Order: sequence, then C-alpha cells, then structure tokens
Amino acid sequence: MPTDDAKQQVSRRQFLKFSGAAGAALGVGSMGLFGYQAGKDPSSYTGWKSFEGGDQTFDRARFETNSPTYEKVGDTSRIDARTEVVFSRMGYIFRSYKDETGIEGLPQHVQAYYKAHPEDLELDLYLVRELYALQREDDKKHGDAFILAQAWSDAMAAVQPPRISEPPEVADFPKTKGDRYHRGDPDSPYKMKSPQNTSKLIKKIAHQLGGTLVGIATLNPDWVYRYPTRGRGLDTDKPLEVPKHWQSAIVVGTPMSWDPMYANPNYGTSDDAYSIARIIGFRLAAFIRKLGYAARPHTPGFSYDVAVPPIMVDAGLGEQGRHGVVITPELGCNIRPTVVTTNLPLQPDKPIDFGVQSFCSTCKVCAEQCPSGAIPKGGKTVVRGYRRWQVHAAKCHNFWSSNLGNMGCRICVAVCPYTRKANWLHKTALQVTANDPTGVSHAALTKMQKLFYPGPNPPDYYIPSLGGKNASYREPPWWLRTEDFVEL
Amino acid sequence: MSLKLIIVLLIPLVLIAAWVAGARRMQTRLEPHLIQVVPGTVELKPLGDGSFAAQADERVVGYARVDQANGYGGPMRIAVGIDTTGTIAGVTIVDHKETEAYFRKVLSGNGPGSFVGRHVSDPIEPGVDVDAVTGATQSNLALVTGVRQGARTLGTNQLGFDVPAADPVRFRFGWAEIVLLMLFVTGFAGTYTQVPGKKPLRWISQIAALVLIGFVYAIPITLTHINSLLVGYLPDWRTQFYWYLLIIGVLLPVLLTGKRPYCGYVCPFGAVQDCLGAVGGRRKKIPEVIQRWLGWFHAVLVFAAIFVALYTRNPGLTSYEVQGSLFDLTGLLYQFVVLGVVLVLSLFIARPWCRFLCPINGVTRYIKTARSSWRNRAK
Amino acid sequence: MAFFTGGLFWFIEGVLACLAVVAIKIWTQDRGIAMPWWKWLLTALWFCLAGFTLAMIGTSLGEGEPRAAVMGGVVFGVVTVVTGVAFWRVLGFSRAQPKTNDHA
Repeated sequence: MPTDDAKQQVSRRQFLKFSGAAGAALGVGSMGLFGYQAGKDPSSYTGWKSFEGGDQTFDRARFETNSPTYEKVGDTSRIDARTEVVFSRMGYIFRSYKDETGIEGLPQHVQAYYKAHPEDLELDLYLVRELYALQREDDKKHGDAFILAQAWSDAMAAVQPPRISEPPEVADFPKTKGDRYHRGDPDSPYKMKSPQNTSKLIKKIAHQLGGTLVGIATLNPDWVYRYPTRGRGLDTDKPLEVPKHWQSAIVVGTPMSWDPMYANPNYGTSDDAYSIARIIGFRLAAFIRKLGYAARPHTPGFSYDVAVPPIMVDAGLGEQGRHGVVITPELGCNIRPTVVTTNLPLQPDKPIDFGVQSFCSTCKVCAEQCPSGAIPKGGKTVVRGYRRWQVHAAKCHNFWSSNLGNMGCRICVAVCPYTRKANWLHKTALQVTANDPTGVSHAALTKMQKLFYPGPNPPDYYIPSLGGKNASYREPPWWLRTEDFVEL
Repeated sequence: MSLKLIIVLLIPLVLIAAWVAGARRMQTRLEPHLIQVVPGTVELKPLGDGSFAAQADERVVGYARVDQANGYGGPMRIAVGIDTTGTIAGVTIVDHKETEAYFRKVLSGNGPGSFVGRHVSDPIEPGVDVDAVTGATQSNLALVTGVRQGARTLGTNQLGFDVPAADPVRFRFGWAEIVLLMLFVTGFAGTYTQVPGKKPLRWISQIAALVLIGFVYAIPITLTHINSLLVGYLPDWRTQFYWYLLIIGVLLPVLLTGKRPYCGYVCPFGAVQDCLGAVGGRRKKIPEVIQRWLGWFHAVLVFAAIFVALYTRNPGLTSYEVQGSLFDLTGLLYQFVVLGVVLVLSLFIARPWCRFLCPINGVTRYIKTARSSWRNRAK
Repeated sequence: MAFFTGGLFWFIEGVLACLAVVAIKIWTQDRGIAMPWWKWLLTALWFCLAGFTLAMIGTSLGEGEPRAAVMGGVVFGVVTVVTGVAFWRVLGFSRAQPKTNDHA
C-alpha cells in the first residue's frame, strides 16, 4: 500500500508527463502557425521596408575572393553601345531603315554589325514589321486587364531626374554658379580623412537614400562603352575615352516590388525599382559634388556609359548568373542598380563567390522557363574576352516587346531560385548553398525548386496572337487585380 | 457456369468493344497542323510522297509533312514545316500517347518552338544540338526523331539537300536489359525452385531492383506497357528489347503457372513498400469487410483505366501509378499526394499499393482468377 | 498581430521544450527505458524535423505557394513519419518493460 506521499508523487509525475506531452504537441504544432506568419510577414519583402541599410545582411566578408567569378581569357574589348545595345540598334532601324534600301541606308558601323550578325537583323526587323502590330492588336483586346499594373508602374515612373546634356568634363563636376543644389568647389574639394572612412560614409548615405544594397569598385575601363549611347551629352560617333575622374564606381541597387515581380511578365514592372534607383543615383552624385568631387550617375533604363553587371560583381554585390542578371544573396536577381562614377577617393570592396557559378551550371530553371530561348542552356562562351553565359539580347528583346501590361518580361528574375523573400526558409536555403562547396545541395535544391515552384508551360507566356495565354509566373497581388476594382 | 466465370468472360468482351469503338473515332484532320507549321500558308498542294507544298498567292512559301515516331506510350505524330531555304519554320505535335507529366518535361526542354530556325542539314540529335531530356528519354527521342525525319524528308525530296543518311537500326542490348534478365532469373529461381536461403535472396534481389530498375533506369512496368500491348502499339523490338523482356517476364509466368515472380523479386515499388514494412513492422490487419470492398474498388479502377485507354487509344493517359513520383520525381500533384499516403501506410500494413491500387496486380489477378475459374468450370 | 514571429513566441517554445524533456524523462523512466545521450539527441533531432515540416508547410501557405505546401508536406511529412516510426522502434519506445518501483 503506497503512502500518501508516494501517491502524491505519482500524480505529480502523471501531471508532468501529460502536460509535457501536451506541451510538446503544442510546441511542434505551433511551428505551423509560426511558418504561416513568417510566410506572410511584410518584413520579408527585402528592400521595401527599411531605409537604414538593415537589408544588406549577408556576411560578404566570409565569401570574399580576390578574383571575380567571371573569367578573363585573352584580349578584351569594350562594348560598342551604338550597336551592341539593342535599344540603340532599334533607334537606327526606326530612324533610317527603309525597305527599298535595306541595310544600305543605315550608317556604316550599323551595317557592319548587321552583316556580322544577320540573325539580329532578322529579329530586329521582325519586331518592327510584325510583333509591334500584333502586340497593339492584342493590347486592344486584352490589355485593359492589366491597367492597374500600368497605373502603378506609371505612378512610380512619374518623377524623373533630368537628362544629362553635357559631356563628363562639365556635367560631372560641381558648379560654382547657379542652382544651389549643384554648387560646390571643384578646385578645392574637401580633404577626406581616409578612403576607408569615406567608403563607410558613402555606403551609409546610399542606404539612407533608400538603396537596399551598395558596393564600391575600382572602375575597370573594360566596362566603359567604347562608343556611347545617345542622350548622355556625348558624341556617339567618337570613341569614348575613359575620363580620368571616373576612378571608382559606387553601385546601389533596389528591388522591384516583390508580389508584382512574381506575377511577371504581365503584372510586373521595372519602373518601380528603376525610378527609385534613378533618384538615388542623382542624389548620391549631388552629395559627392557638394564635397567638391566629380560624380556622374548612370541610371536605368537607358542612361549609362558603363556596363553595370560586371561592376556589381567587382563591388561584391553578387555574381552574374546564367541569365546575365547579377544574383545577389539578399535580393536574388530582383535588383535594379544605379552606378555613380566618381573621383572621390574610396576603398573598394572585394568580389564575392557564394556558389552561384556552380548553382547556375546545373539549375537552368531560367533557361527552361524563358519562352524566347534567349538564355543559353549550354556552357559559357567568351564574350569580349570574358568567359560567361551570354543571353541573346535580340531574342529576349523581341519577346518582352510583344507582351501586354507594362511591356516587359522579367520571367528569369521571378523564377530564379535565388529570388526569394527574406524568411527563415529561403534564408536557410541560401546559407546552405553558399556554404556547400560540393554542389550536392545545389542539385537537391534545384530539384525542389522545380518540384515545389513550377511555372506555366513556357509557350503560354506569349500573347494570344502568338499562340500563348498571357500566362504569368504567379497570380498578381490583390491590389493589381483590375477586375476587382474597375468596371471592365 | 458460375457467376465468376461469366464476369471473367465478360471483361474481355467489353474491352474488345472499347477497342473497336476507339478505332472508329480515330480520325484526326491534318490540314490545320500543316497550315500552321509554315507561316503565311493559304493553300496546301499534295506532292505525292506525303509532303505538301505550302502556297500563298500561287507562290510556294514552304513545305510541310506529318511524320510518326514511337514514344513511350505509342506513336507520336509531328507536323514539320520548312521554308524554301531549308530552315524549319514550324513544328506542331499532332497527337501523342505520352504520360502527361513526362510529356510536359519534354516540352520544357524541347518545345516545338525550339526547333524553329534550325536547318534541315543540322544533326537534330538529343545531346548534340537539342536537349537530352533525362527522365523522359523515350518521349523526347520520339519528338526529336519525328522532327528530324520530317525535316530531312522535306529537305531531300523538295529542295534536293544532301542530308546525312539515317543510321541503320541496330539491336540494343545494354546494361538495363542484362540487369532485368538477371533479376527475372533470380525471381524464377526463388519462385519455382527450392533454392536454399530464399529470404536473403529475395531481399538482395529487391534491393538491387529498387536501386537499378527504380532509381537508376527508372523503367519498371506500368499500365502503359499493358495498354500499349492491348491497343496494339508494339515498339521496334530491336531498339526496345527491354519492353518485350519486361512484358513477357511479367505476364508469361502468371499465364502459365498463376505465379508472379516479378512482384516479389523485380518490382522496385514493391521493394520500397517491403523496406518500409520492415521499418514499421506492418502489424496492422485490415478487417475482412474493408478488404473485400477495397478489392472491388481495385478491380473497377484497373478495368476503367484499361477501358479508357483502349477507347481513347492512348496507353499513357490512364497510367495512374505513383512510382514515377518517387523514382524520378515526375508526376502530377495528386500522384505525389497518393505516393505520400501509400508510403506512410506501408509502414503499418503489408504492401498497400500492390493489394489495393497497383494496375499490374489488377491485371495479373484477373489472369489468375480466369485460370482458376476456367479450370473449375465443370464443378 | 504577428505573435508567432515575435520573441515571446520563442520564449514559450522554450518553456514547452523544457516541459517536453521532463515528460520524456518521466515517461521513459516509468517504462524502464534507458536513455543514453544519443537517444536524447535523436529525439531532439526528430522534434526539429517535425517542427521544420510544419513550419515549411505554413510558410509556403503564407507566401501564397500552395503547391509548395503540398509537395513539401508530402516529401518532408513522409520523411518525418518514417523516421518517427523507425526511431520509435529502434529506441525501444514501443516495448513496455517491467515497471521499477524505485521512485516510490
């Protein structure tokens, strides 16, 4: 016969046992609720919540490397922005292409380009002759469904900094007269205490201006256009000599709004991030000029004198992926950058290697989802002396020019496994891939990406006239569903 | 005659009716496809060799034809169009008999659009200049072969191109065939002879099958094989010897002796369930009544699957197995969910898939029943 | 209110984990099951796996990725159940041993 004491102890044990079991069940079960809230958490929308630099969270120091992850092989050359940039080429086609004269009517260098790249001529002409008309027709029939997406895009793009109309020797330097916001003394700039110190300051300012990610690189002249584009205060017929005062490049990136971005190609827009990046670029340049130094913003969508992706790589923001877009740890490829070239003495960052080259070599999600076939499924090729994956710009351009909504595509950005919001699940996956030298996790996570997050059948992304269904990678967010707000 | 025998005899009659009805409704119009593959076509003019000249305003703008190649589930018909320079202008798939999830995989690698722009003299060969889609090799091969055949025939006959001659078909007997043969030999030995150490032998055989037939080659028998056989889509025995080995190895023993060595020794999905059973102890018993109901459900399910396949003449359509979701992670959402349920159940009960869902088991069980009720017909 | 992503939630999770440890200790003592360190480790790992599976499903739903929730549920759910059953048997939890009365 047990004593009262023993009885009490037994019941106390029973109580602990059952409450513990209940606790375990409750603890494990509420992980599901934790997950649900973590998935919905607005703070996972990296870059759309904070202006304090709190989103540049990846520990880059651990992944720094002395050699950037593109590979230099042999002689390099610079981009001829008059022909190698598809927008400039289209400009020539619009201005001076006539069916009667064919390419003979175009300037010599454009003719030479098209003779060397007959496929590009075919694709560029196909766009002008047929695709635009098809797009217009489909837009009349189906375009209204995307009017909220267009309104959002136009609202973001409504505020534009001025175009640069003077050459770098004039435009980049502070003015001694005129508008107080551009005044400074180019002849006696403030002496900065140290480049390290200045870099720290500039990065903080870039974050305060709304930049999500910022990095600094010594400007490699290979990234400067050989011939400039129009609208930069430069003579497009003269080779561009790299100005002496373009010493460092500060690159600042901001993301496109996440939910519309996943609903590409129809609901997304580049202009939300473009416009923020543009304004940051001009503000940052003004900050530097006030200190008496030269600064020139290079801003999206067309106003550059430099190729931006390699600068992002040099500055350690990320690595260039299979789709040609730079993949960053925090934002994936959901990043729209602006560059400021300056003679302010700065300490450059180091490039990083967090496993993207290995990941991209087997993943191929973007190449499989790209309806235009512009993203290579095979290996890297040598482009102007650097080994990398090269996207077929004309194919890409033709596809995105034929879309409705905000006329663009960005499917490769949306489907990239690195383009994920900042919750525990994706942050963990990122850390696993970044710290795995074997590539085993890369294969496993690619498999999961394809199983868990499949997209539509690629041809369905096209407009109906081209045999598609206006498909989007994901459903649009509630605030872009036109049918819920507008009488159609 | 017993009721059982009547049902046994009725089943083939209904299936034959489905086959005949299916044959009658198979008439696809080809013209829309032919017009689609050469952009700008207004009119088609037959050229005698099965090809068509695509014309607009009395002017030839290209050539088109429909060719056929053997896929996993049966023939695939592909319309190919070329322009007057010999460049492929368009490709459409007229019809195919592939399993949906696998065919999507093929299309994500080699969509019809991906062939446009290639020249008739290009190799058009998986792994050479077009994607080799792993996990759906046979479906992909059919698509690519169809396109190549069509393009080359058009190129040679209409434009006089000197295109590379097709390789002669060679008898293929590789590691997959050897492995399968060895597993069957083991299975027959275990089933029909009194070899010592039967239990470890069966485990070794099953685990080898799980790794090789399941994960490495990913080609266990499926309902598609049975359906193809019944519809009459027989692949080329020289390139598809494995197919014949598999069908004969599964069906012959049950026809002759009423035993099923494949299930116990060769089936990789059976092996998975046995392994999980060993982990979980599978000591739960299902009540007799529920077993009987599930048995009827199983019979009706398999019968319906074969019936629909025969009527639609599409062997891959009703191949509802979930093993593909496990072995090469291909499948529709419901298949993954069913797979999950089956895997968890097989911890607690013996081979739930085989007993209540497996279409192959449905077929072999019918054969067994037919044999025994025929033998007992006099009684 | 985002209670479940806040610090208080993790504090409560910690309290519940302690309760669970106590319960497992008492329960195994009552059944006479020896608990060396590796059994504790496996048990803890299994609870982490189960928590991960549920959190993964929840996060996918919260993100608006129902397919990922179902697929993740199947993949990790099966692994959780199978390892759970395997541990249960391997660790000897399924066998009731004669009760020792030394605590009385």
